[in-house]
Amino acid sequence: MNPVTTSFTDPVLARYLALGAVLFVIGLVGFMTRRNMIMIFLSTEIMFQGVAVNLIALSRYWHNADGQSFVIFLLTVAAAEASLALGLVVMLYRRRQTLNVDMWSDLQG
Amino acid sequence: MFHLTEFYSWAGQLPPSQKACFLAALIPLFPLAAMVIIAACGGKILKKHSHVPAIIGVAMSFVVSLVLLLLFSTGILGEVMRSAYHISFATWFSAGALHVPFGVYLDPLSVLFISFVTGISLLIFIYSSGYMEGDYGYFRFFAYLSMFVAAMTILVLANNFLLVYLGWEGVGLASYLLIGYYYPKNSARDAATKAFVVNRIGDTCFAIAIFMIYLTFHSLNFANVFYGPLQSASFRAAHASMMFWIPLLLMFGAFAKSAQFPLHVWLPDAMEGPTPVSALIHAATMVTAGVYLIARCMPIFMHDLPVLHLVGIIGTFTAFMAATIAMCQYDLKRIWAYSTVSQLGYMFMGLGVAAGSAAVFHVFTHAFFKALLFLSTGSVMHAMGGELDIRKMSGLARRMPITAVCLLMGALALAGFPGWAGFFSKDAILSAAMNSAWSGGPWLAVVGLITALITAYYTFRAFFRVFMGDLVLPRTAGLHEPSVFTLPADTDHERHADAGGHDNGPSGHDAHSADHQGRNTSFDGPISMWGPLVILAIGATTVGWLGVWGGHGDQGWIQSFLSRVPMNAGLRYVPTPPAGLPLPVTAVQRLSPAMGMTIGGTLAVLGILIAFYFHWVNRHAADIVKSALRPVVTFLENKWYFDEIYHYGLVMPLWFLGRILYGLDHVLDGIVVNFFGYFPQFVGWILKPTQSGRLRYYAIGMVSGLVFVILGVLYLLR
Repeated sequence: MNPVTTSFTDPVLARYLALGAVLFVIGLVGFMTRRNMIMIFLSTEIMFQGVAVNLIALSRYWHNADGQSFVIFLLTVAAAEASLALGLVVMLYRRRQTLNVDMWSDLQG
Repeated sequence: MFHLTEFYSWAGQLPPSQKACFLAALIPLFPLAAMVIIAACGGKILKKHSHVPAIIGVAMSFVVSLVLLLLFSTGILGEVMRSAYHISFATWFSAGALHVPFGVYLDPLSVLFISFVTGISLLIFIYSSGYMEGDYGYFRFFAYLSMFVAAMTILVLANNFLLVYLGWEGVGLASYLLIGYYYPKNSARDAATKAFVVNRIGDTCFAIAIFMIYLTFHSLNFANVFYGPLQSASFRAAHASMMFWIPLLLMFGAFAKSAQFPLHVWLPDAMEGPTPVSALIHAATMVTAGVYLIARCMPIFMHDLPVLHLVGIIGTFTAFMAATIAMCQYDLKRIWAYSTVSQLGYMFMGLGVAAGSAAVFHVFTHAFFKALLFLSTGSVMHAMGGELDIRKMSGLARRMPITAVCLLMGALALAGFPGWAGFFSKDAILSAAMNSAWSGGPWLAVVGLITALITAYYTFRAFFRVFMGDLVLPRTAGLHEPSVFTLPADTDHERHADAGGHDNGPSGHDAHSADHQGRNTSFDGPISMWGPLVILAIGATTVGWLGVWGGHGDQGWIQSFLSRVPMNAGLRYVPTPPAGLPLPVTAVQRLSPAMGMTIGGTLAVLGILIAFYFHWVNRHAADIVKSALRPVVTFLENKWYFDEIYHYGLVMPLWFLGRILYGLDHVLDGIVVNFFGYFPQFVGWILKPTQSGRLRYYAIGMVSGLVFVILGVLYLLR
């Protein structure tokens, strides 16, 4: 049996991976359906966390610290990115007095 | 790093011949440097002193040429240089096995050519500084002139065919620029285009000949081509077709440059340029290139006698045809232009009967008297306010005595009057034709003698009409030639204030007031104009004697000087490079030299006497004869209808073909080219809705793409 098959059939790991996948899909659906720019941004953060959960779960499963340390970096980057994105959202709000992303569709064919 | 002392010690060890080659390499560089200097600072700094670098440049070239001439004609360095010396300085370019060097080929032929080319050019440059004074674009003119001379010297001194071709194209370009110098004039532009296009025909032939030479000899250097395998009969037999096509194509190249039938039509129109340019083209730099090429390639021609004879036949025909046309022209410059075509025909006749020395001798004398004739005509034109119609002027000798005497000397030389330059050189060609081993030679000589009679007649027709008889001045006499360049008023005024000693306001003077001025300041112009005329007149009178005096035995200086150049019938031996150059052409003795001279001289005097009667003593009789021979005169006045034949036979069909192709091009544009334009537009129109500007749709696109990729990967890993 090869390791890939093993990892997905392991019952404990499978639950964590499922949690990660659920988080990711929730974020994805939110990203695709929401119009509020802050909500869209939050959806991307949720997708992020889904990925982070996956990383930690697999890291634990393989007894390898790489994944967990990588998540530390990931969260740092996410924090920096969050501040930047929120700053941009504030700038956009000041321009048009709205958070509706559909108001920003000037670049189109 | 370059050490001058090392260079000196290295150069000091060279044999004199190689020193001479290094010296010769300087000759094209002086005019080239002058051209660059004038082009760079002529417009802003030099302005009306633009002639100074040009004259200095060509004068230095002339001095170097004289040194070479001394080296070759006397044993001044302990070694009489009579053979060919060649040296390659650097590689121009290499491609595979082809290495084209910058190099010099020195032998008496190139040394003689380079001497008179630079010498005559120097006189023409000095003349131009007076003639063109105050003209708009003065510096441009001298830059072009320097380029012309530089290209011609490269052509003459090159040691391989491709370098000759460089000079060949250079003179073509320079002549185009100079003929079209008065570019606001339609006729000047047309003449420049015509000269360029006709020359291109010859250039193409020459280029193909060069390719064939490389294919046959695997080298383009003269030494390898002429003294290599060409000498072996088995090699020639193995390349029989090449040995036919190479000289034939070289011949057409030479014929375009030297204005021979059927490519002569550009030269008479080339007088649209300023008169010194005509002098330069006709005497020194352009038309002599074709003669030089064939004289240089004589070793090839001598192994294909039919082509060599074709050269002679076409040359003779051209000589006759152009002479008849010159009889019935009224524009003074046009008469001299056709006389050039005719005299070049003589040169090719000489080459055709393997009398290269005689042909080159005629080039040499012709350079003097034709430059003289054109420059004198320029003085007439200058004084008459641009008028050159010989029907509108008469008796000018009273007003411009120096010009008249100079032009008389040139006319005597052209007519072949005994003692003057043209007499000896023309006689040398005709007696060579008469004594040729080829049975056609005497026939060429007979046509040549008839042409000599016609030549004497038309030359003195022009001279007597213009300078003798009652004084008649055209209305424009004394005015400065109207400029074709329309300029703002201030520069216009400046130009007139400097105009050649005749200070006429823009309103202009009539003939009477010009008459009044003419008593004080003769029409001869400034010394920079009549000075060169006098020198050329002395040359045209005397250089012919070089053909009978000064050589070894009973030969003239020219014949013994050129005797080692392999271009003459009967020459069997050339010491270096490699010994032994058998040429299969021999000479016979049909006519003694004295007899030939007597016949030629008699015909010249006869022609002059006919002209004397009809155009000085009794001009009314000329009109009667003219009306009696109306159809012939019309035929000749229209130059044998060559321009019309070419127009309806070549230009119009090509024009129609052009229209058809233009229409075809429209069809192609409409279907093929526009398809390639419309197809991306169509694709863009289809894909345009995907760029909606809505973030969510982009997100959906990304996700569906991701899903597609994941499904694809899973499918492949199943």
